Amino acid sequence: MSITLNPNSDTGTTASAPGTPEPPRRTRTGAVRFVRNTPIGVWVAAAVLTFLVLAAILPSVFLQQDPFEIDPANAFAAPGAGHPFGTDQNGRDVFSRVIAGTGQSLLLGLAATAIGLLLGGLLGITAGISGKWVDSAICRFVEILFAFPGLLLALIVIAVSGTGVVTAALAVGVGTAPGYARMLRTQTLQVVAAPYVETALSLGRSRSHILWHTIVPNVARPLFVLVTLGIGQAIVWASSLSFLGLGAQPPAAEWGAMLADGRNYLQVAWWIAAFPGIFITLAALTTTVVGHHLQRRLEAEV
Amino acid sequence: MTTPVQHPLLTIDNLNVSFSTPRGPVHVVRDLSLALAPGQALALVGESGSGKTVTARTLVGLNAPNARVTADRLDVLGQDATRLSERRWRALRGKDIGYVLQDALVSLDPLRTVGQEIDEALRAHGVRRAERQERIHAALRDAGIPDPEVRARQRSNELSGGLRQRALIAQATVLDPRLVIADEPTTALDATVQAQILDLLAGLKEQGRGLILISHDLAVVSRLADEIAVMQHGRIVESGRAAEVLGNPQHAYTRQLIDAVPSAAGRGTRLSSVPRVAVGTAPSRTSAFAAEAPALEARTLVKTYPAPDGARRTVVDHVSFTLQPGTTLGIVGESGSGKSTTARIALGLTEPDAGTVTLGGLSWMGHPDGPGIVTEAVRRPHRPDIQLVNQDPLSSFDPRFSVQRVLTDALDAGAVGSPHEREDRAAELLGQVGLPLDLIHRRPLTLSGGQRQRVAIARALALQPRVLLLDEPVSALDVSIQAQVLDLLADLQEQLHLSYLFISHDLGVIHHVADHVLVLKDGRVVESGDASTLFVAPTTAYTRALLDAVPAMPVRTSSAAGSTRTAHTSEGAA
Repeated sequence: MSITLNPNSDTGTTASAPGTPEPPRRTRTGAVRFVRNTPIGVWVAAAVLTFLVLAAILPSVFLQQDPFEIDPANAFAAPGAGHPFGTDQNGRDVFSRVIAGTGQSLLLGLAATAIGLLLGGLLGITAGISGKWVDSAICRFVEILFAFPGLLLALIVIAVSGTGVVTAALAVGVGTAPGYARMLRTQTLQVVAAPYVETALSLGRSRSHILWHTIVPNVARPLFVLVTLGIGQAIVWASSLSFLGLGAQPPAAEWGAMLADGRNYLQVAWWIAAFPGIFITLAALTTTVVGHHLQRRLEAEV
Repeated sequence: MTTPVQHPLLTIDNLNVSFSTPRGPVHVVRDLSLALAPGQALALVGESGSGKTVTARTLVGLNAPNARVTADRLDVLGQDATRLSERRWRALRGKDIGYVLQDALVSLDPLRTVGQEIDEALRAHGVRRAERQERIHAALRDAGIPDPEVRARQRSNELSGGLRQRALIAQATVLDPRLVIADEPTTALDATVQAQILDLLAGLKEQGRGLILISHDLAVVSRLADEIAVMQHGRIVESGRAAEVLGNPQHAYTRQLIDAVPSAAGRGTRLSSVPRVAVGTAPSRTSAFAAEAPALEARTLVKTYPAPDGARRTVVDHVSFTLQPGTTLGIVGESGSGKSTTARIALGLTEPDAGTVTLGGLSWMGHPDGPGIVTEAVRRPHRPDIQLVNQDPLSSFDPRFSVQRVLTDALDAGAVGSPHEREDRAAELLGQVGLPLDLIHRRPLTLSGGQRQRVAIARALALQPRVLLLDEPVSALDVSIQAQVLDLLADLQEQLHLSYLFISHDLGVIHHVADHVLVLKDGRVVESGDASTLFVAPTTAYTRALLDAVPAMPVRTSSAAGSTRTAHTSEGAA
């Protein structure tokens, strides 16, 4: 072994020196490590989620029958050959209705999360970058909102603007906004205090450039994870509103509405309520599992 | 304690430690042999990754589960350490071997008091409750902590860095161990505090304990060690009596470590063997910066902050200085001396309560003439003229960016060229700071500390500044890497005619780089003047105390330089 220290030892050219583990090579083994580091449960959740997304985008691929076609002669048919999830009190195919409802449920979840993030982001980021007075004003406002349970906040919105799918999304969005506002404010405060923001300033960047090109992107970095975690919650809330008759209205094929519908027949035909309920759970569970996994991966990277 | 005093505490023959990893075994310690007698201090010296910490952890049985330890002989306090069960290790640890962990500032549990921390060691070894309180206070007192009864009830965040390190030493020595292992015990501490801790460790040695001292800095251990073992890539490349290793080093790597200590070498000498960087011809930027005016001038800066009790605490108190173009002004001071606040004012990030700063003859901070202050809008076009390199470069990079993006973004801030030209210039900048081009697509997170600091310097150079504000730029680096970065800074200053405002708590570094020096204490300038006169004949007691605290090599390499150089070449040929 050469006894003189390589002059470039600090520059990484002698990575093969004994005792120095090689730096991880992302490109070559990245895919292999990704597969190996992902637990089987996450794969199952991802597969179910993919199925749900496909059903939402292309319901016709899975639809066997018209979800609205009434067939009174065939009402309350138990799950079996022609109807894998059975039929409801009007003889409508539960499987087709569940599939048809996927799109609306997922869309409601997405839209509600987007609205919540937008409102929360506006409040949180403004609070984080503003001075003491604006910050504490927004904080107090958010704390007042926190005093109400999220669902109650959503009910207030519905009480003001009436029932319907769009209102339901807005209502759930408003209900989740305080949580996002608080998280994004903390994140913003951290980013604003980071030395790289000052570095941008001392390179001669303007404040608006720093806001849009340094602060906002770095605050938004963990948002992807936040969104996947939030969608699950939003789906459950939106379904709850529909279940209460405040969101999607019958005969719409929406999981919460179907659940409410089937509740009356739970003793004679459990399947009418059970399958929409299972799908609500699946949607919430899979988005949360995948979101948690992404969160862990991202945190490990940072 | 039936062991005779002359019995060695440690006997190690051919110790090998390797770690099994998914990519195969990694050998960290190879064929290491050592011995330690009571009352002796052995220093393990080497840069990060040389295997010194792993060696120390092997001696207390604290290696990671994937470690494989083999040795022809590994006797720790008369026991065969290769066969010790975890239970037996626990009996040894704390009681017979005290281990002072690295990173004094974060090694104490923030939720528990210092007394509880020490109590844990006593309880683990079954000391009776009645005795414990008294022994905690005694241990703290022995570790040089004043008012041990008060300190024992405090948590680590209420203690200064020096007190925390003392508390850790108290924790390691409370059970009166025969062997004390201290891993980088003075890193991150101010020079005067460092000197006190070294004195404390010397006291432990005089009480007849064996001491193993781990450090990357030969100057630190030279004060204390009887024997020095220099480690590189997991092997001991040279070992022997401290005076011999330092005075007549046989191995090229040892000489390199000795040369790297900046206090031993005067200004203008190179500390590392890294080739000089050649700065290509960069397109010169037009600027209102007046070349003949002082590069940076501060007049009677004052900055106060509100204290918790409602009063105002003066952090910077009438500080004035002048940085002449092409020279280096060193600012020395311990933690809390106001040097960082002064730096922030100079950088135009903190508004002073009073006083002004001019940058190349332009009003930069404060109230220049009469009412009104210089606004950010006025400063912004001149911001490229002064750039910062700080102690923790990683935090100054946008976490989303690759090395290339870090550099092109800086160029973009100055509206330099087209995107394509910026990429070319980024590559050029990497070359200027002596980094290979293949690092350009890496994330700064995956680079070593020295490499990160070079990237930070490259970014600072991107907009062709006139002044670099270097805030503890080498404090987090190993001595050998520090030497390379200091050499790089010297090359850049010479070729680009840069002016440096160099802030450090390390007088050795300041001595090496600075033309003029400003000594700060409690926000006030204690002493200032030419480096050559100030270091030779300090006029204030404080500066003298600082200078005395600088760990100096017992043997000046400058006197032996000629003979060692010849030894170097003859050995190289052999």
